[in-house]
Amino acid sequence: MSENYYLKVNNLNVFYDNSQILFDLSLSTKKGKTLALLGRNGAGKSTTLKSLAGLTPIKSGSVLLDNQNIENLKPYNISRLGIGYVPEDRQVFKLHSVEENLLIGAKKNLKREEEIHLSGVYDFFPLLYDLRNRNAGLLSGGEQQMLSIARTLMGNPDILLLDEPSEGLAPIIVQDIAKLIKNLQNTNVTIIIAEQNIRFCFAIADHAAIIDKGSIVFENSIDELRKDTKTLKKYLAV
Amino acid sequence: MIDVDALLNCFGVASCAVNQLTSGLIIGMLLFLVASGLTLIFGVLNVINFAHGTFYMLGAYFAFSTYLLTESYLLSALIGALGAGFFGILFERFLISKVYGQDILMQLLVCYAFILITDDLVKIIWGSEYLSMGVPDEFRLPPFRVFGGFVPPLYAFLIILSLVIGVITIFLISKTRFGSIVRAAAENAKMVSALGIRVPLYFALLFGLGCALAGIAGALGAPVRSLTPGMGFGILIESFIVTVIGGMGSIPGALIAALILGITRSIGSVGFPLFVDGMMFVIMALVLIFKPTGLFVKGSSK
Repeated sequence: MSENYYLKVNNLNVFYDNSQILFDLSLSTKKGKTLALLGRNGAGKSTTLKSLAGLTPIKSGSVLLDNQNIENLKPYNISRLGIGYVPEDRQVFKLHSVEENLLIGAKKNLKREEEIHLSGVYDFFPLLYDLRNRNAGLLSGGEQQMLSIARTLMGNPDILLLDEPSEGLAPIIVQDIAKLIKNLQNTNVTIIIAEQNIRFCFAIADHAAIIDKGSIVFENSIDELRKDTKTLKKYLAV
Repeated sequence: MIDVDALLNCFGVASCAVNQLTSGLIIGMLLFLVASGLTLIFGVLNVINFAHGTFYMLGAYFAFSTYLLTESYLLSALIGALGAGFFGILFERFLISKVYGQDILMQLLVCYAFILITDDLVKIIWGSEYLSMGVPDEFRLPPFRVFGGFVPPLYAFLIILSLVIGVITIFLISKTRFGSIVRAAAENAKMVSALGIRVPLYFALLFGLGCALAGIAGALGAPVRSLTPGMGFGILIESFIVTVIGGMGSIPGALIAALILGITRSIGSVGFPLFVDGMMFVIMALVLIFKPTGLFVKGSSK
């Protein structure tokens, strides 16, 4: 019997118009673990996460969530099955208040009984409670990143896809985000995080996969990657 | 060209002034309902609904037939609104949503085909002669006396109800979950769908709401206007003028602009009867020159 993976991606091929972005990409992760998806700019990290969220059409290959095929579902169905997507560059609704942003994300997870309520998210993000009536467009980059994560958490996801959460943030704010993700890990949520910031990933991830030119070229524990200076140098220029 | 004497004479006599203002308010408020639907659809879906006048016409004809059957004006207005909204949803789902994001000429073409076909269907079903619903029984009451002028109860009812519908619409868009979601989807539809919301459903409902606003205007106005196939065309042009003056996407802007046009129209019919339509375009041109984004939409003042 194969190992019990919570999310398993097999031979994914994805195109933008006529140019192929992902080539037979395969990866997998177990429940409650954090997988770091590393790679250079343009390697295909964002496209991988978008494909999992249903935002980019998948030409061929399969995505299994808890042994259920989800590769052809619409984004809202995928979201309702418990995959929460936090996009690159936050994409908060700028003209809505912080609280309105959160309420748009509120929905039931079809597979879970309990719901996350506004008060629960505010306990997790006290800063957002203080800013709840402010327009999201007026927040700083770090605050918008927290709001974007919190908004997705309102949907009570089992898997969180985080696309470059540290991008463009000051180091001190990146530390805050790392702390936040560690707290999330205690709630047993599965996380796939696309990042260029390797130190950030060393601090939070259990496993790492390196993507290069649309294919996975390395997949192992984060500790193995830390020791593998050759791979780090070759694919991530560290 | 401008008959100053006639204007002064009218506004020197309270009854004439009251009558003109009342009729201006009615024209303006019904126009506001139609234009608010147009501006709502544009603001959220970024679609210019060239077929909007058709839903106004459908609302009027549905109301006419309902009134013949039931003799209830309120029920007629409700059926007019719901019928137009229902056909609006069908139109959105099966026709206009297929050309979202495409060249505006494609939208124009789809709408124009829909207008021609619907006008002909109306001719087949209701005939091509002018129809008149007449003042409904509920409103065959003595007029109110206001400052020496007479205001029929139906007119007062139309003005107040239109305002109430406008306020409800603004509340629905700015304060409810439905409104919050459609405004967010207007900004970033992909993100909203990634949050688990079935965006096409909300878009169809919003389109239906916009068409229902046009339909209820047609239905409410049926007793004071005559019905004819193609009656949607004139109101469409005026609704465009309203949205240009008030600003695309702004409902309060549509209210003010519609009232400006309504009053212009009724005063014009006394003071410059030959240049009423011309004056509306002059106002529009002035707004386009000095505030191209419209009176109520912030924009760079180039």
